Amino acid sequence: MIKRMSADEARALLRSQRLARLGCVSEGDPYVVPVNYVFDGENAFSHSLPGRKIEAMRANPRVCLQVDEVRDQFRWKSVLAFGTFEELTDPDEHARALNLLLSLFPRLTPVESLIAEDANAPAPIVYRIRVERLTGIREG
Amino acid sequence: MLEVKEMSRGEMTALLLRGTFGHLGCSRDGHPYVVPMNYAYDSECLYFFTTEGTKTEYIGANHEVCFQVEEIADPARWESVMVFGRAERVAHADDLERAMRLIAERNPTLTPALNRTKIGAWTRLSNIVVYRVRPHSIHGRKTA
Repeated sequence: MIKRMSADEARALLRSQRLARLGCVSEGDPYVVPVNYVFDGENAFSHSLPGRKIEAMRANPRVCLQVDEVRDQFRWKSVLAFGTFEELTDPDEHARALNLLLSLFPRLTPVESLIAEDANAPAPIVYRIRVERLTGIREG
Repeated sequence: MLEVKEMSRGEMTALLLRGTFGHLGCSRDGHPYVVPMNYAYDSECLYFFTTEGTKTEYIGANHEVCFQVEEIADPARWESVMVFGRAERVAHADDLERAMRLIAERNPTLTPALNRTKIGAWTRLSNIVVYRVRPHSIHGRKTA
């Protein structure tokens, strides 16, 4: 039996997880990539090297983050957060968010994240997704 | 440093054949939508099914989808593949049977035991829609 999650439950799942799929629209068509993120209750923060998803989000800031917790096919939760992409350009904000992300993800996961210790890597883009709407469903 | 490289065609096919679960991305009027989804891949096309609802509305408005499949051993060892293509409803009874069989084989707990007559009745009764995606491009990245 699939049930709708409450807003609080959905928010709690988004807070508890660190891996999401970011959905954005690239030239009119969907684009999905796994990203590491952290959610503070209002905004999800993440970072990336320049590339197709950043180009896509700069052109169209409507994005979604999908997060799930799957134990098996009958016990799972899935949350979809819709929001707006905002690049952090203020140096203080950028540094604060990047430090937070690097403290949580020292080895970095499914993003093109060569960033850490590589002096020659391009400067990472740090962004937030201002979450405007959350929906969640669960089973079991 | 974590080094990330492009996957070969063979590596991407192998990952898609091994996998049973991924994430479907759709978009309509510039708005994205992503959902977890079981699937099956037969080296040529990717199949998934859903019931009539938000996903079928999105796909009806824009047939182009992105299906993303990953395997994460740990944060320093992962592979991720994206399949881009048009999602078409599988309509013909023979194709429907083949697609549902393939999905059921890969995801044994997901579907009731199916035979030819049952597939038709079950998909009609449950408002199930089966989609086929013939990829026009596939991209993959993995840790080195």
